[in-house]
Amino acid sequence: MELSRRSFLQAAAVAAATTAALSATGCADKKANLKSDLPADLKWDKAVCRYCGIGCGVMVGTKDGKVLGIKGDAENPVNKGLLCVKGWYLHKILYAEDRLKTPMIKKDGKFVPATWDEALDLVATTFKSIIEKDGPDAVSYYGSGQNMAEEAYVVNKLFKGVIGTNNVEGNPRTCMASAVAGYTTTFGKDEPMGNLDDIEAADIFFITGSNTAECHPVVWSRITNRKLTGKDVKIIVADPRRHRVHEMADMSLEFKPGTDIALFNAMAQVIIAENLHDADFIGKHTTFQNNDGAITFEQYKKFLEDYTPEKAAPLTGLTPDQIRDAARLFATKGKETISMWTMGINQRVQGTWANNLLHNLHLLTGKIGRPGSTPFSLTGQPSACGSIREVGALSHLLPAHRVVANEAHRKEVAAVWGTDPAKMSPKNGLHMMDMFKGLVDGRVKAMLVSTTNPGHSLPNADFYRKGMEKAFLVVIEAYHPTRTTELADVLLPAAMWVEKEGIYGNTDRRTQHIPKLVNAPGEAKPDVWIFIELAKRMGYGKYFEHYTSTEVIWEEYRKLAKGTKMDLAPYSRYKKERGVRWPVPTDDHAGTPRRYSYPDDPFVTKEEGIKFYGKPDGKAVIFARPFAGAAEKPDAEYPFWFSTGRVLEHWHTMTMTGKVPELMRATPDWYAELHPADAAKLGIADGDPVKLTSRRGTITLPAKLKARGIPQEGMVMVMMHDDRVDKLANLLTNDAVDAASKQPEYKICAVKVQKA
Amino acid sequence: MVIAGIVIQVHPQDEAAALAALQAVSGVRYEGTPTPGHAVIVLEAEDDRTAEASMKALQEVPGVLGVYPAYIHSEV
Repeated sequence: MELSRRSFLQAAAVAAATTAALSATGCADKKANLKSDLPADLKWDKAVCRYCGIGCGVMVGTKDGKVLGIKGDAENPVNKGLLCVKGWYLHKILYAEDRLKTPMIKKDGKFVPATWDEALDLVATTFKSIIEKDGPDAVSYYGSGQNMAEEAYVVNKLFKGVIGTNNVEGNPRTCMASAVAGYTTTFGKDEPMGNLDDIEAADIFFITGSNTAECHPVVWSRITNRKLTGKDVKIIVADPRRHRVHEMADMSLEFKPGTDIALFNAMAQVIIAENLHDADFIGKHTTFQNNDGAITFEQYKKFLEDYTPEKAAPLTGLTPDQIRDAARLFATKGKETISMWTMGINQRVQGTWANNLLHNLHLLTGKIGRPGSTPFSLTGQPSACGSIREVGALSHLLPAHRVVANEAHRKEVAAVWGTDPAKMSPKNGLHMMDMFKGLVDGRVKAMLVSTTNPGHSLPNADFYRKGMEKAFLVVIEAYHPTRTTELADVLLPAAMWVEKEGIYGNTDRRTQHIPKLVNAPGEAKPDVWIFIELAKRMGYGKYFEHYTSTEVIWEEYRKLAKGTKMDLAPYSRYKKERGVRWPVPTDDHAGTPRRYSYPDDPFVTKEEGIKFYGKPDGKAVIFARPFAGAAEKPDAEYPFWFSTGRVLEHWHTMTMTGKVPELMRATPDWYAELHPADAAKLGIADGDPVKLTSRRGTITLPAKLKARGIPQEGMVMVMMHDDRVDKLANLLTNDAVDAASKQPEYKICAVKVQKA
Repeated sequence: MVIAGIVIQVHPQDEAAALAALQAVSGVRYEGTPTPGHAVIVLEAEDDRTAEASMKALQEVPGVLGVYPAYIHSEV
């Protein structure tokens, strides 16, 4: 490398990092992010990170059709120029050796290359013949929170509007369905009302069921910065396993797995008993319900008598004082409290209720609807919100938070789709676990999968992998092999990230645009192209032929969002701006930082102040939800709690991060975390192989007694990333689902632990 | 060739020791602390493997709360 260029790159690196440091701490004006900071020999464009749901802005540097540079986008308010270590290697996911570059058809048990015509014709004719013989509900689609919004919109229309089945599901069912059900039942509308900027206004952080430091590292940087620079900022962490968040926490609540329902109820009991609640807020803005219907505040108080700290202590494994202290800190008068959670709360058979109870704490204390006070669910995928929750690509949903069961909603959607509303089924499609069970028992004969890896990520994986292998499985993927492509009949190579254009929607309602910057390898195509080609070959071309660009698709989708209080901005704005938070009631509106409160929300008047307009009476619901615990608890045969988690360097099933050698070397071995006391009792030393057995399967891994996390005594923890087919954590996990959200209980089951 | 600009978030209590340790990591040049708790370094390495080793070392420095790349130039 020439010295002058090297010096220039060094200067660019310093400028970018300095700008990011200043921006991250609120010290930089926007001029600090000068375009001239970027090396001039690369072309720089803004995009969005491909990984988690935070939606960090990245500047992508390209030259000669290749991505050569990545820079945190200091103009993007989400990350203000910072990236996590996964972002460091973001460009490498495009250049993996196992990119799928041509369609493949499995013949005699082996994949052979095919032309697009051969592969698409085979898929179209097979789907058509199944539909003709067994009806539309015999086919299905399983998508992803990594799909772009336009992709989800088009495939949703194909299946629900044209084929006539609601068997459209997506992997967000595995990660945030309980958050959806929680927001919807409590507030009448899905998705957080607050935003990431609440971090800098919060005094108290209540972090539960989230290893934020490793799984949402840029959010964690904002929290730690607030903690270190704010006055008297406190962090409460509630989690059965000690992890990096505990290192910064003022209060650690290591409750027994599955007992957070009792903890949250007990905190509510303390808040009311010690008069820490906001009676005025409760009176004006809330109602009360139990599982049978409306109740009074007095009845709710009576319900909470079963959850005094003294009664909750033996259930949770905490002391009464710990519970009281947490409640008092959460409810501190004059302070702003934000709660954050993710899979530890959502992946549970009581996940919806746990979400409700977190909302309760904010509603009881009035710590909601103003900067720094909000219940804020952290999302795991880059567009689980934008492409699945908002587009309505789950089996009960239609675009813009409509539902298939509502006739008016079906008609509204069909009118924009240009399809016959009578073709749309009024009944919910199969939810994710039932859909995959349908592959096993033959109710569902075919499935189209896009941008996800259920062969690795489903709980009780061995059972469902057999169904995937048996059915006609078509997988749209960027890579091969994965634990899902190996089970498929047809593989369709997909363009990914900046190889195609589209929209992502992040965890705080921020909609952002990703441009196409480089060509996809080989014959890989954007998913939208694949869906439209399939539709044409199935005889439905007339419904899709007007989709000549992602912008055309977006503008049609936007018609469905108009007037729903989920209004979206014109496509042209997203191309220019660093995202816009919906609702965007007019084309030039700046976006809505906070819902349900004046003056931030354009749908709430000054006189109303706060209005939870998702509910007919404008009031949020405080729920009395009883504790029941996990679906499967330790017993004499399976005496240990088992849970799964993630590490900083990897993301989900590693189809992307597993292609980055540097990230793989950072995590050279996978392991089972044990508490040292348990290991001593079992005669297990660090590194000894241990056999973990649940009612569903067995895996063997080396024991790790001092990893980044330490599970509590009686608990074992395994990272879900490991993609070796005989080591999948999901061979053990439980496929029992939450009754409302249908989200499986990945986080808790029972195992036995034996020295192997 | 890898050149990266990185923000290192350090705990104020451990800042002096952490900064000294950071500068001992191969390929690291400390550029300053433009705002409290946020050091800026440039990491330069001949190849990704060397950069990776340095990154790992940075994360393990006592007092380091987070390592956040802000700019990465990597000639693949």
